[in-house]
Amino acid sequence: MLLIREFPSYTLIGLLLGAMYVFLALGYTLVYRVLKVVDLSYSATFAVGMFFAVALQGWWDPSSQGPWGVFLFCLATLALLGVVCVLIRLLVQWGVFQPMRNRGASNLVVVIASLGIYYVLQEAAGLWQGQDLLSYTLPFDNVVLFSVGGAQVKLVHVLVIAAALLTALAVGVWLQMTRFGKSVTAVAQDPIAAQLNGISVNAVATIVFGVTGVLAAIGSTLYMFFYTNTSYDVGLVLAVNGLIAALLGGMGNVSGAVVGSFLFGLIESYGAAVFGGTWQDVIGYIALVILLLVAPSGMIRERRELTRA
Amino acid sequence: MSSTDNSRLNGMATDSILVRAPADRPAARTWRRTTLNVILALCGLVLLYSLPVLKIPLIDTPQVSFASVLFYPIGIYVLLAIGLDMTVGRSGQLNLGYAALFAAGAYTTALLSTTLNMPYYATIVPAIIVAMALGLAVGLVSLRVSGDYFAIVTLGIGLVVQEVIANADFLGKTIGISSIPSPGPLLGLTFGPLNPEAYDWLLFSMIIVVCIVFALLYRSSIGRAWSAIRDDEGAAALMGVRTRRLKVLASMIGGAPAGLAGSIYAAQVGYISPGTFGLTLSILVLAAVVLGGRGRLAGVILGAVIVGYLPERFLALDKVHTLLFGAVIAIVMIFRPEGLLGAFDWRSLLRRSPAGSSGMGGATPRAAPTERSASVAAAVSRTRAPDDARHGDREGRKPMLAVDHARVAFGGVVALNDVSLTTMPGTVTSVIGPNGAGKTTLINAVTGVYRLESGRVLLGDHDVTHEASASRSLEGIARTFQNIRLFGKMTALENVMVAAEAKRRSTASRGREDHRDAAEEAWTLLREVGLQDLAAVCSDQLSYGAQRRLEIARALALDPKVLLLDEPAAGANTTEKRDLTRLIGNIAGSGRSVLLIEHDMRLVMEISSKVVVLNFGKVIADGSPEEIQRDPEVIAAYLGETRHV
Repeated sequence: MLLIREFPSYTLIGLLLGAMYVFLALGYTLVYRVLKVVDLSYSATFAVGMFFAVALQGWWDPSSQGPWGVFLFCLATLALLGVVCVLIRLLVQWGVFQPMRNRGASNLVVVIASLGIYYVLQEAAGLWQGQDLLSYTLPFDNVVLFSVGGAQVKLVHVLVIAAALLTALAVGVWLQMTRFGKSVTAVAQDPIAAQLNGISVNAVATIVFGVTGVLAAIGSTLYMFFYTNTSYDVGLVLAVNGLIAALLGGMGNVSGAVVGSFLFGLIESYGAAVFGGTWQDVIGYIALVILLLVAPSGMIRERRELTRA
Repeated sequence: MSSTDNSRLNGMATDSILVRAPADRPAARTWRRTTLNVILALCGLVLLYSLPVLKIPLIDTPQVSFASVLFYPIGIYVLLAIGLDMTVGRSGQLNLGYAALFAAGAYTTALLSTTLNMPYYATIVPAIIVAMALGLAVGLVSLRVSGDYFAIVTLGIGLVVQEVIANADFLGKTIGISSIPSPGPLLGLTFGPLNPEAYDWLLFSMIIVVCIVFALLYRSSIGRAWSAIRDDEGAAALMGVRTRRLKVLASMIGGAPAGLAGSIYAAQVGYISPGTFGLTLSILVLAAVVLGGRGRLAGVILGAVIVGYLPERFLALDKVHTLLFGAVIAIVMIFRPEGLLGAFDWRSLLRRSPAGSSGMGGATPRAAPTERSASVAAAVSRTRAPDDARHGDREGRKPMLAVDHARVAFGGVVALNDVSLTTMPGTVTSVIGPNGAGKTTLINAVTGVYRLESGRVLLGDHDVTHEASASRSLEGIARTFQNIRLFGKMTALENVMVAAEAKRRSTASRGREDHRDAAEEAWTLLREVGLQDLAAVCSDQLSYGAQRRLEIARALALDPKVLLLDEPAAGANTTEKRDLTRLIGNIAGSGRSVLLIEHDMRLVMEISSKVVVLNFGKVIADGSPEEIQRDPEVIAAYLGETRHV
């Protein structure tokens, strides 16, 4: 059987998919934790970020500048995407989410508004770079570092997985250990009580949106390194997979988002091995539906985490 | 934008025929209005049906004529939006996989007419049935998973259905099913690529039929129950509404338009493939519902027309059309969160004065407080007393409600600890105690909101400990809420009718008594609490005191054996409290048992035949008002050294 014969390879693919989902699921889960709303516009930020990564390559070719040039180029990519994505996220918060929250709009309405923003971002990206597949040249050699039972682990693979784990750890520490993390928990539990105790929900939300911008910047950089091509409507697939990953773990829960991401990646990868590539998506969705029917609020409930905090 | 106006006009006209004229209007005026409505509706129909053949330059889209986008996307979106609104707008559930139901209808028609060579018209009903079956499945899922999780599960279902189609041989995989035959001639119309307007007319007729059926449904008692669920599902269950059953029903019926749309779509395009039925379609239809104004037929239709037409219109702007579309959606949602037609009650324009009391002898002048109390006394004593009260022992040997060693705990906090109490028919029993003593928890335990950890709740001889809230309310336990929980978007009259109709549905003579009886009963109850002049006012527009009285009327509509009142006098002034005292006295006087939670000691001591004192979840005293006022423990825990009374 294919899965057993090439188990390490499929595991690696699953982990890589999962690592990509971490950046999406964390973004959805953080916004949900603070505002109790699913922000559909989030994944479109990735598309815009990726387009900037491609554009930067048109402005600066580091291939002749040696290893330091490549390193600087990668840093510059991250920095540029960081500025762009954080700016977009802040504009979305100030232009859409904050005014709607202040008006007391219901969740459904905010979700639909974020859908509108999704289209605006996606189409703006499409206008800028066109609607065809865009290819990207990896600025460094993707050397094979080592291999485990037939699975060749390359440099980008290590980068992607390490970055995902480190980012998740950083977000977790930030929420658990800092004063700001406490105010996020306070807002998550009871926005009104938090407000009465001097925590501005809008300010907390703004910072969280900024952080999701950073997540989108890292995520889209790694996406370009890993897939080396993209298109303007990549956000739809990213949204679906990221949301499913976040939900598998339990919406609003950071550790759940990480576990859910890797689990979903592995389910997809193993599913593709067992049932064939065309069924890859279906397996994931069926797993999601079954899991939510068995455990209606995801694997790790938010409430349990809250009572502990 | 006149296409939009036409459709809206038509939607409005169709609706307004169905607005029943209040009975107290002069006959001539009613007749004139009906005629006007019929003329308006006819004009709208003529306009609508001439749309496919009219050449209106302004609304033509740049690439193609307006007529060519009329069927798809506009008409199909309208039908889908009406169906989706049944779950999203009426029973308040976010469904992100509605395109799957549309696919079910389309593939049913395609399969039956290509492989079995069935004529198109014979495939309509199977298409609807398959879509409704899928809707039923989605509805059953909603019982298990709720809120955002339900939304994502439906998203998953939508994607799974699409992927299954794309991978199943008999459904043509990604290539789809082609050469689906056109419908045969109907009423002299032939269907085919040469006369596309025939499809438009057929689709319009379907939309009109669906609109009429849905409008009638929404105006029926089931429609009111759905609205109640949308406004406050928990309160609806406590008013006897079978929320689970009705939500599944909404999801199932909501599938019918999708099946219908799918079947005619398949027949018109002649070729279907899974790409059409993706997440994008589900989301666009949802956007149409929310954009236009969910829970409102005219709004939903307007939204669908906009979502169907706008991107086509913007095609002139070449590549920015989707961007503009997204911007329009975001802007409308930011500035009109209820949707374009959501907060606008156009019926209020037609109905200039609040509706008079139908069949009750015309509008009643605003009664002075004393008069009102007198009428309350008369009215309450007129209502039927529960059977148990008549058969029961007036000496109080047989309790109406008995709470037997009840224990409720939340984690480590014991909210009710071994609480026992009984209430007798025809009397008022009061529960008093400091804040946090467990008084409201007691009501929640009696009404089934909280499960007992141990102990029992008995209604007469009947053990209701393990029954759901709705069953308990129908068997005779009704309540009001400390934090008012009316159905905010419904009128005062409708609020009471929801409970009255739930009670009617449950009694043996089901179906025999019609809606008019429930309305009349609701009117009587509104008079009892002095709200007859405000019957047509939306309940969230009522004053605080009026809302509290409306809650009592709504609870009485269940014809309860036991009425639980949770701080009914909160915020009331002296006159209102006097009225309330009388009202409660009359309710008890009619044989019902009243369990009262109240902080106003004068009211409690005046009205109660028994007082139970709770502190820290325990009964610390139990006896006549006089005994309680002398009890040292009660004085220490609650009443204080200086007497209030």
